[in-house]
Amino acid sequence: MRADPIVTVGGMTMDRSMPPMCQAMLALLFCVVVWQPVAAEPAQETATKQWQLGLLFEKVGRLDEAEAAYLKATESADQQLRAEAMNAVARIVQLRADAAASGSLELGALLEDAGRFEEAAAAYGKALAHARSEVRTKALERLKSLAARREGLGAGAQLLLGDAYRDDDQLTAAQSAYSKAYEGGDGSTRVSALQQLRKVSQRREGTLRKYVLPAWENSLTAFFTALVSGAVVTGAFLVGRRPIGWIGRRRGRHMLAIDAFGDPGHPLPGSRFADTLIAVHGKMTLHFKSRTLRGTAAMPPLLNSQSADVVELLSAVTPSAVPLVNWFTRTARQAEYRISGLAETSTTSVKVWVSLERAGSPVAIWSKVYNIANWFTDEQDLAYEIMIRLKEVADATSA
Amino acid sequence: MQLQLESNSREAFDFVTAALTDLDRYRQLREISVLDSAKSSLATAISKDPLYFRAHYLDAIVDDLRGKPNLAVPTFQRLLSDSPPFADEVRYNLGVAEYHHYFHEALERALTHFASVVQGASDLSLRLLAETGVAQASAMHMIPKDPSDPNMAEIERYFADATAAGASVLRKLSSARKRWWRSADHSISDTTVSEIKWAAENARGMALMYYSDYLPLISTSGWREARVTGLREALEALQRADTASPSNWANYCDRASARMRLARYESPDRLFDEAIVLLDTVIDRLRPGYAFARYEKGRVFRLRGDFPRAIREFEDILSIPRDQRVDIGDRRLNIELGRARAGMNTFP
Repeated sequence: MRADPIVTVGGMTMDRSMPPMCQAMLALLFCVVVWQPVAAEPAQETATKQWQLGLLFEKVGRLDEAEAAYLKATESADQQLRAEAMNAVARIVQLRADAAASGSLELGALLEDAGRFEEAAAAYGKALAHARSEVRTKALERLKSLAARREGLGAGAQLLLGDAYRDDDQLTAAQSAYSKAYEGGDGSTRVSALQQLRKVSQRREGTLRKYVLPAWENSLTAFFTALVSGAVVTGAFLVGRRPIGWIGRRRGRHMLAIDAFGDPGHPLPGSRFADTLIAVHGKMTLHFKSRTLRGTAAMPPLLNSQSADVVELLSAVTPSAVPLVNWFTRTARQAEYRISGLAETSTTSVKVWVSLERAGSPVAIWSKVYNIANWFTDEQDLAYEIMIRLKEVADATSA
Repeated sequence: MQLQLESNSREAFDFVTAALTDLDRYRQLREISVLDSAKSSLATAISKDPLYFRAHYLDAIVDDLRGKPNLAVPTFQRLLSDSPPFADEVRYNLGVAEYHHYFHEALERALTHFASVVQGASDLSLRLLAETGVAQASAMHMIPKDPSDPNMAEIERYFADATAAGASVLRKLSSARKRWWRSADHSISDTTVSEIKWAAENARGMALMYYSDYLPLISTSGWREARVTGLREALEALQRADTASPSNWANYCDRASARMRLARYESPDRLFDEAIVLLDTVIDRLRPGYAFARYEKGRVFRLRGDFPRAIREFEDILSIPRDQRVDIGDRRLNIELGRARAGMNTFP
């Protein structure tokens, strides 16, 4: 009769396969450390010894004995020792699971090599269920590889694969695996697959609604807003251009606009000729203002810039509306008369080109060169000449 | 050489603008010295551009306002011959300058000009002003050349013309101002409204006042009460004219004249005193040294029995060169002087 390879010494189970020297040393250690008169040893020293024994067993790979020793150490009054013992128990459990998972992984590899793919997938699945990250990662890789190579992989394997993808937040892949499990499976497999599909769909919908849809909706909203705004602006322009223009020309009847003749901020003579025109216009307005009797028609008033204030106020509230408002204010009030031109200044002379227009058509043009030394007087004379011509045209038009 | 409506000379234009500003101030302040400044500016403008129509035109208006209508009339006539674009307005001002001569022939010329403007002017303001000119000139024409030999028929006719024209103007003005739609052709400025109102009320006051000089005839029953009533109505009309045109020298003189006339019938001391105050205001401030106002003051002295003062006044006025006292002629002055020297307080 063959001897039992497992030997029990003083309650301690020993494996006969262990070298005799190790067995002897272990037995001696047991006697010294553990087997002592119970009545004479304090409880704390027992717990400590159990903890130490657990460490020894864990080190040599005897997980069951280590677990038992750690469990006894958890009875210690010392809080710290108790916590460490509990952590050690959890560690033992994980080691056992890892050992099982590794075994499953190896088993799965063997089964896969043997062409037993469904069983291999199941083994990989077990490894996935219990393993820590390293073994789990290997098991997942092998399962994916198997699924990729084997289109007709069973519903059970697909279910496991779906679980793995689900746990890794690869929800699309999980949905695909669960769908295959549902299609290929029956009974409980189909029920499980369907449940998981629902769960995954809910998770995906939550993600969609939280991150994808708002961005999509905002994009859609922005697109349609731009589309509608553009349509409104274009429509307003096409439909309103003529009536607004008609109203603008009517409101601007007998009015005068003076364009800038250069950069007003430029210090050179000629750049502020428009200001001189405005000053002379003011004097002539006083001259020709309506008194008891009119004499002739009054001077065409200047188109004032009240609209500029409106645009400035609006830009503080709705900057995007400023271009449309600018177009509207320009179109809604078009002066019947306009003075425009430019002035070029050199070191010795000022060249001035001026156009007086009525309803967009030039009625008089001046092109003159002045000695820069006399510009102060000459610009007033020129401004007067232009304004008198304007008065003549306005009177003729009124008549 | 044909005058040009606008000048090519900016300097001439500036001086005319300055004169227009002075005219605006005169209409507000009624200070005769402001007209002197305007006259000086216009003289400079004309020197810089002798063909500047507007400068000549305003110069004539200023002459008339300064009490020299004899200078204004030939200028207006010359400007009319150039056929200006606003000929009706020039003609109206010519009528005003003729009116300010006050003798019958000038008044008749004024009436002709005013009638022409009433008929032909397109501007409502101008038509109404011309019609007030008709009312005033008609009222003034009621004063007979010879106060001892009045033409009653003419007095009645011109009285009817004056009152009818005045009432017509006020009616048309009221109608025009009530329109809520104002076309450019029918818009009347507030200044023009005041001008029209004062002239129309002044014309009515003058007409009632001059009517009471002779009518109703003393042979008519109740003539005294009728004249007193007429004079009181005249005072009311002249007061309304003063409201429309405060510190108006012509209206001040007429208000004094109406008091002088009413004083013959009631409250002589108070009314004579009030008349003197009004006339002194004209002589001292509104139109310094105005000959007609001094003439009226002399008449007040005569009527209240202060003959020495009356004589002094009339003699002083007669010593003023004729061309400087266009509005009161030698004949009238001599009549009054004679009466004062005779110790007579008869009227008219």
